[in-house]
Amino acid sequence: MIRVIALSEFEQQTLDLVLKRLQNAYGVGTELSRRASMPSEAYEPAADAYDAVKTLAEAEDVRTFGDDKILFLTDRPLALPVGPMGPGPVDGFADYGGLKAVATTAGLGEAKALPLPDGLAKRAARQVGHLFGLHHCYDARCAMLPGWAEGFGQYPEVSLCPFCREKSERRIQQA
Amino acid sequence: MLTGISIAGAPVSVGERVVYPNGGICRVQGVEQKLIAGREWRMLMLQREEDLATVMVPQEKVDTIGLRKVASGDAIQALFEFFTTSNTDPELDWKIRHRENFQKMAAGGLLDTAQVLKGLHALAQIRPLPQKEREMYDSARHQLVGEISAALSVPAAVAENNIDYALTPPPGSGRTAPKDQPLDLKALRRSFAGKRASGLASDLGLEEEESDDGLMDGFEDEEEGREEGLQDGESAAGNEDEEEGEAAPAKKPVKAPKPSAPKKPRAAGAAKTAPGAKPAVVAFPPASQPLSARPVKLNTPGPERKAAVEEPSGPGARPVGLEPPPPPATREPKPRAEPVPMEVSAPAGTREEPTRTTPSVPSPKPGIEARPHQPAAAAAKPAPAPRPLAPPERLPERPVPTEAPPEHLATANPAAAAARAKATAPQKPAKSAPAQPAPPPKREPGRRDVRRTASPVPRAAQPSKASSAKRPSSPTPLAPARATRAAKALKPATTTAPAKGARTPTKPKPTRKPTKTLTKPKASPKPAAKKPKAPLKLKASPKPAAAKKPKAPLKPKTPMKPAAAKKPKTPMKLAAAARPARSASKGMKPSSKPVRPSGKAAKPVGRPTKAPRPKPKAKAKIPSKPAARRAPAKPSKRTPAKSTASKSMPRKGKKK
Repeated sequence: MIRVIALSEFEQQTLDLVLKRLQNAYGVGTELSRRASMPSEAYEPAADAYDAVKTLAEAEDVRTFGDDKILFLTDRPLALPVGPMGPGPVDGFADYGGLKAVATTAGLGEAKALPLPDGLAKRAARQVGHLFGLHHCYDARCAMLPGWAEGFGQYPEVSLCPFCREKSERRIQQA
Repeated sequence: MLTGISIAGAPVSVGERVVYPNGGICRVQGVEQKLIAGREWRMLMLQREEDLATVMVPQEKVDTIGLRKVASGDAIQALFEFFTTSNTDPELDWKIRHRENFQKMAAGGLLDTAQVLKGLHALAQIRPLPQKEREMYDSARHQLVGEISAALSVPAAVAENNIDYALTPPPGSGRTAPKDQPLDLKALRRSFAGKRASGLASDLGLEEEESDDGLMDGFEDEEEGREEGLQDGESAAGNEDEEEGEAAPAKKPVKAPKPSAPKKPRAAGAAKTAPGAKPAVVAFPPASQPLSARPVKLNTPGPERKAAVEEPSGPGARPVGLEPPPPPATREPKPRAEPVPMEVSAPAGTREEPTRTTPSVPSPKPGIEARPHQPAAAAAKPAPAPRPLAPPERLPERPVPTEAPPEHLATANPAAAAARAKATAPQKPAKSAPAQPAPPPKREPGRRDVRRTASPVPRAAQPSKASSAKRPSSPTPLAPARATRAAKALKPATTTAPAKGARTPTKPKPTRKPTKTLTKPKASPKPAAKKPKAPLKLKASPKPAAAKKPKAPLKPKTPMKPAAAKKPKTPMKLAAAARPARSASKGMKPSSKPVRPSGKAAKPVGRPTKAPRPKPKAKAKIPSKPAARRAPAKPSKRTPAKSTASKSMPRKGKKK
């Protein structure tokens, strides 16, 4: 089960679309568990963004079963520790193989390629894929394509490539 | 706390993170003594962080399996620098690529894994990866993400994002994706074609070195075949070319000391051989030596051969250090008339074509035998390039090619001619073995005649006859596949040769015609004219004729009359009349329906065309013993026939 927690104000249609596409992509149940607010502890004024790692740690979650995944949705910008390649676009964060992930709509308007619900659904699908142990994929049609890659805006549908689908199904069965 | 075990000279402490090749990041748990298979092992206990699996590594194997410590920050920085550089070496041959990638992944080095990831990522931009490579790509990515996150102490998501920042830079970052060097496909094709034509032995050597990895069993066989001998290697090379397809260079056409055209530099991986260098071909012994003696240098271990390959440098350069090997000891005692041109020409590699044909020339001395394998090898060789080092004065000395033995010798010295004939006699079949089907065609027409004369009797034998016609006429028992092959090979000869000489004696047409006439009436509805033929047909089939011999006068009465009365005689009826007899005589089981234990079953079967009813009457008239004996048996046997006939007949008779 994928439990979605909205940390910002989203339209119900948007949330419904995200839930529906997540269910289609992974074949597991999805539900909107609750609405909450962004944890203030995670805000970093220097970056004018919320630290994604802290957000996951501090956000209010829900009681889950062992194989449940929690997905936070927000419209606030997120930040991640800077790596060797410098700062880059952050559209979400997931604990690889873990329980929690967060996806944001920040930056979706800039691309002008995908409408917000579609873009959010695709980002959410990628973060959930990380929860299932999937890595980034080079296939432009795959939901695991990085959000800044060229083909991201070309395909609004949320679907996995055969390899990622098979791998996710394997992981889901193992869970 | 030290474990007393060191990795690459550095001691390992408990709690330290190490990288297990192809396994991921592990944490050292300690050292334990384990009794396994009756032996005490000192095990390094590891726990994989990903799934907390326990890994036990014997102390002796710590270094050999590639266990290493987690990379440092500098190594990670160098790794990302490597990611941002352009791709240079796309290996297009998937087998080589897969093998190399597999080796790199098994080695477990940081840069090796990065090379795999980068190479496959670049390839994935061109076309989707096959399943195996996709898995390898994912595995490499997983290893790198784990190690980077462990080395930099960042979440795995950050590590992967950074990898993708390097491989596919985001639009606003100011960087561009590592540019792939444009593939010059034309140049690649040219280079592959050049390799195929010249058969560079450098590829040979390199591939032989790579054959130990155990990746592809099917190819190992080929490699082994090559190592066994040069002659086997030739065939294996041919097979490999077929398998590898377009992109694969011809690896091993190592037939003989070949003049190799200057090797074109490989588009990818040019570091393997110097551009234009003449590779190990030069190291081959001269053509005058037997093939079995040649592969001695071929089978030398890899590094040595590599050195031999890489020695010559520069376009068209001739290897300096590679001397032609001396002729084998077996030939030394022989007083040879023409060893000198061979020694000169072969090592030098290649002056002219006739140099290779020289050894096969039958010499006037009977002690010198012609070697049959050399002309065959020479015939397969392409025209060599001119070689500068061969002494020009030797050229005129080279004798005439083998096919045409000098005639003046044959006329002047008859004894020598006889000896020469002996020497050349075994050569001829070896040379023209496939193209000499002369004796078999002579036999074939006679055989055909026999078959044709014998064929018309049984009709059922026609298919077997047709199949036997395909078989070769050779009396030796051949396997069916060989026989068909031989028949195919002999076909032209058989069609032409007997056509001239054996047309008159053969009687195929008259014998086949009656079979046609027998078959025709089935299709053509000409009833009246075939009445007389019908009994012939019945007679022709031995079994029914034997059954009806005593009834011969009754035949027109019983079976034929009802059929003739209702319908004009059709061949179908005749056939229907004949079938029951056949089935009965063959002992075929009647169909389950018409068993007729009582007369009831016979009644529905009794149709206007049925013969059994009148037959008993006829039998009563003729008190012949065989008829009386068969009277009870016939209906039982015919009933199935009736049933079969009734299937084809309309059921009007029943109603009537």
